[in-house]
Amino acid sequence: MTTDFWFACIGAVLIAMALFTFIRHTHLLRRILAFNIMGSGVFLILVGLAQHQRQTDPVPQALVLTGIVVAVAATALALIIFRRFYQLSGRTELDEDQQ
Amino acid sequence: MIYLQYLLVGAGCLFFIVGTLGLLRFPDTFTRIHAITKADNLGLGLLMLGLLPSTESLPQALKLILIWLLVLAASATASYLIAHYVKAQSPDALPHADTTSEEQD
Amino acid sequence: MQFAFDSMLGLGLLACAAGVFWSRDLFRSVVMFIAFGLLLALTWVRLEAPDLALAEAAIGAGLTGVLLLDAIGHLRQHNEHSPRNHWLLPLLCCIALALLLILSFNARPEASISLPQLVAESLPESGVEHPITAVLLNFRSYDTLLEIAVLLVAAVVAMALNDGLAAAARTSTEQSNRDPVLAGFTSRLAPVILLVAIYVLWAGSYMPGGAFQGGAILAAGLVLLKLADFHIERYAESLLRLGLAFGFLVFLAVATSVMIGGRPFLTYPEAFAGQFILFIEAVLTFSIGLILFSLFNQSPGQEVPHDN
Repeated sequence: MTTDFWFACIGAVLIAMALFTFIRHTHLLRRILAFNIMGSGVFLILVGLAQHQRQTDPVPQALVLTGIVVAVAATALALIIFRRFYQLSGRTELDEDQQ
Repeated sequence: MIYLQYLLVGAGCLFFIVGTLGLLRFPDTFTRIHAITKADNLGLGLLMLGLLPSTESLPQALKLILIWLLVLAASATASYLIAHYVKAQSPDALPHADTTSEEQD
Repeated sequence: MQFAFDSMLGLGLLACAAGVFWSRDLFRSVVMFIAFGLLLALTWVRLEAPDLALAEAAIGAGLTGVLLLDAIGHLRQHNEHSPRNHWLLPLLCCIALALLLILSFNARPEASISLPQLVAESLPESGVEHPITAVLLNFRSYDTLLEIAVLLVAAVVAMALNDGLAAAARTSTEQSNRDPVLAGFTSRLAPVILLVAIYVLWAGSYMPGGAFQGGAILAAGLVLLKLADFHIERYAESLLRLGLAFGFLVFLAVATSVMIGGRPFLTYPEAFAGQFILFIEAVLTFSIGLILFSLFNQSPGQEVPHDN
């Protein structure tokens, strides 16, 4: 069990946990959080698996660096849309999620 | 020299542990701030002192000291802001009698 | 020793994620998310990816945390509806997904070409000494060009959603309630942050650092100024808007201008590659910082009354 493989496995577990939360919770802010952590899990797998039993690899690291910056922009945009939705409707859940 | 470094880093870690323990165990926000900032500043200072002899060049050493100073200033400001906020939420509560600030930890 | 540290770190990541997902209070979730970002930054160090650690500490823990806390602050109540009742099937599916992912790790195909070797061989021609900067701005600069385009689109959408509201929000918070300690600290810290951002940008050509990390630090500094009630965006609004597009436009102009000399799109002449990359990176840092800041700045506040 190398360090890289261990953290790739952690990434897989993070993805599964985040997916479960994403399905189960309907509050949009919590879904944004879960989505972010799912992305972090994917990044861990990308880097960890590429470096497992090989040397450090700058290509996946560069891709993940791009990914981190795009992820924060996407999160910020999601938060802005969520806050606008909340402003207009006063709700924190989507219509189809209301029980 | 290396044993002195071990001693300093070990003492720094001890301060971190004590500070974290205080953060977890103390009853209200004010005492928690007290625990975490005092312990962290001193702990980080000791860590930095312990690491200074291992630096390879003067710029590297200066960067370490700069990090410590920045953390000192930032944590002092942050603690002030948190204490200020808690005080504004419950103006009549004495700092040591404040037990309703559980959700602001 | 190292294995013990890795185990602790991995379990810490899982514990923080569990805190984010299953704590009752959303505020607590967000705080756990910030802690998760810091632990992830440490993880990148363990994976020998210091560039990612820098970016994660500035973005994952810093900027995202501020954005989330700001959003939480504008919600009237933190409590949420109870989660859905049917949970067994999703739980089983998610456990199966995790197991399948981990099993598939062992069945991955062998790489037919060695990318690190390829990068190391072409590094002397790239104009920079740090492999990740070389990949981002020379070998795969398409990605970076499209990335800054995506960021620009996000900023434009944010502005479109907020236009008109911004003016209303501005008048409502006209008188400043500047906290003296925070303002004093921030005004002294701002030059240091700017210096660090430029240093990280400059260092990117030969060691971990570069446009993204520098831009993130710049954005963090701008957000801090905004939080301390220094409204710099009011003094130069049109300049700020121009600055958002500046990075993408300059990058595109450089990428196409080399075609005049008969080169393919996005290739730099070898003799000046280093200068080209540094120039593009400087412009990118500026634009990324401004875009990330404006995404924070454009967030709709609660002051605006909603009429439904």
